[in-house]
Amino acid sequence: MAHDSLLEIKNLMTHFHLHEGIVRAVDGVSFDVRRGQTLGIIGESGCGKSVTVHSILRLVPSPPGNIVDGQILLHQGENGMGAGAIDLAQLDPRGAQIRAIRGAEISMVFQEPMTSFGPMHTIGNQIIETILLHQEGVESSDARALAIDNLRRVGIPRAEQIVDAYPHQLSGGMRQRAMIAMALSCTPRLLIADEPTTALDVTIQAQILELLMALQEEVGMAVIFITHNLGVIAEVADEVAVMYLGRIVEQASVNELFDNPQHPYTQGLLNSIPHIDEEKLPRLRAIEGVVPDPYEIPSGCAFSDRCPSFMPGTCDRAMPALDETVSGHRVRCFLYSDVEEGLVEVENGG
Amino acid sequence: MLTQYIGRRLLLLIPLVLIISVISFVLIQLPPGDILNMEVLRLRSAGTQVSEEEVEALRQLYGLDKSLPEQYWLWITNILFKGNFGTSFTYVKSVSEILAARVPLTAAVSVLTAIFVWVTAVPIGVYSATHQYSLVDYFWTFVSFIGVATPGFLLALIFLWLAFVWFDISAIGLFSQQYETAPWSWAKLVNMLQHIWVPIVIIGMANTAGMMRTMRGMMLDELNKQYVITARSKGLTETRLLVKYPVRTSMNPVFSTIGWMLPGIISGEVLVSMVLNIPTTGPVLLQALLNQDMFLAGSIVFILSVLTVVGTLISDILLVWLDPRIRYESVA
Repeated sequence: MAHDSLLEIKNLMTHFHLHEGIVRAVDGVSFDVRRGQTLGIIGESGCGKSVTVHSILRLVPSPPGNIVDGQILLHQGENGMGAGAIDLAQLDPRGAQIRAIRGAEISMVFQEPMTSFGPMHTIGNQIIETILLHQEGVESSDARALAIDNLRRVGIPRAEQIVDAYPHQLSGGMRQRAMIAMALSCTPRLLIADEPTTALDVTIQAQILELLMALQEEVGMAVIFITHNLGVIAEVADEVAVMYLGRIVEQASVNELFDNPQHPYTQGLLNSIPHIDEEKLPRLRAIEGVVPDPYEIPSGCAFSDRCPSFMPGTCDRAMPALDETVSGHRVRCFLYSDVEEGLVEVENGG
Repeated sequence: MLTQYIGRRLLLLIPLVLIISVISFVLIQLPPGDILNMEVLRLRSAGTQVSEEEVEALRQLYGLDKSLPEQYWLWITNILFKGNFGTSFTYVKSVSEILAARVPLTAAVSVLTAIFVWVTAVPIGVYSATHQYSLVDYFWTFVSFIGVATPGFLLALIFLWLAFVWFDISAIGLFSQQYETAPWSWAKLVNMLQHIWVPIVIIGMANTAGMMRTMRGMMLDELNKQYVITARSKGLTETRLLVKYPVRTSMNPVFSTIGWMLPGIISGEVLVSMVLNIPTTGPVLLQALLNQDMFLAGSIVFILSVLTVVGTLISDILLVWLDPRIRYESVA
């Protein structure tokens, strides 16, 4: 599998050292992103999905955030095995190496289209800036033409005029399109989309998703798509990782996950989607309880205090490992495997 | 569009300046008595006989026998159409002549102070914000609290004393003795520049301290905004992205305070200039007010107010020019 993986994250731990204590925002996350594929990361607010992807580009503010362990391997060239890999976790977050990767190899689209562009400069100025930064030998007049091409590609009408518009003159959907145009201006190999449609109307949301998928096909890039919207993930992702309190609790291909959800948390998430076609509309089935305080995470399985299948003496004793149950389907739950987290680490180490 | 905006603002300036002139005039007329009472009292106490007829003749000469609206009319029409600000009673010279020597110096001190404030406060504010809660940040926070809390004249006195005790120099004045009455020359200008930094630093202290805090606060707000992270995610260097995005946005209060920095500098400057014996308008204004030298005091108040209005206009135009959000929302 390694030969077609573009990005390999191994046991990533990003912790925040605050006055109140250490917040383990990302606590041992591992996943692969394969070339041209979409990995969806899903989870509630505060589960660490944003911190995970911010860690990849080393955008986590430090202090207080630190990558305390793990590897983020970005494979080079078409054949990852031969060309070697860069461990992004080892780079200086302000250094030239990571800056050459940002915006060129890996670029990012953010949640708030209203504030994602600087308010004082035109859209074009900010796209051209990225192009000039990463594409050597491009003159500024050519860069402007490239910026207009990119705006046109994301379906912005009158691109040669919009290029001179200021962000506040565009609607949210247009701004998000422009944001995507900027992110794709240097044809990245990986696009990280951090809840790119959350702040948009449902109709605009659908347009942006279609656009992203069409562009992904055109450019052939891999995508990490973060959302808390299960409908969106079903539409865009090839592979899905479900996160809860800094850990992946279940990971499978999108069909497998929706057909055969195993972790009680994933089941709860899927059950909580209201269905309009049900005869008698039942009460919304929410997951019991609330996400625990980051300083008072339950011992054992982090989900144990909200879990409907809680097994006393087992779930509160140790953290289950993320173990493969069906081929390509990994679950962190004692219902399916009795392997504990620590033991896996020992196995890996040995 | 921008020229239209500027034109409209310039037109609005006319009624504003007229209102200011009325207020300046009324203000200086407010205290009971006038310059002649003071003068007559002084002469009589010195033993000189002054008859009622002579007082009446003087009163007529200066137009003090007319009603207030008439006096105002004479004063303002003389200023507007003849450029004549009247005569100072105490200096027995035309006001224009007295101010011609001092207004440029005041302007020089003010502008240089403003530049000093920006050049120091903006970088320090930015550094404090990007290194929040660091030792350097705490140091400048401490300095700025002291700076805001210490009156300029006290600072001036302390400085004079330290300069005398430590270096045995007298930091008073704007020129060395040999240049004080000399006509303007290159050497005199250089000499002035050698002295002028003392009042600039002292007068600018409070403004610098305040501006530093404003800049730091604005930057802290902006630094956490999404667009800064976007810029970073594009691969820009930290310095370049800071200068281009958050610093640029945070500069708004710097530009918008140009207008009211001027009166701030001038009111702070009056006392500091008294202490340091700087030949600007400040000490003259104080003296004129004490003597009820109405044409002199009125003219100074009027000129300074007009400068303030013009300063505000400049800062408004700068803001509209520099910030596209303001440009398109309120001007169009």
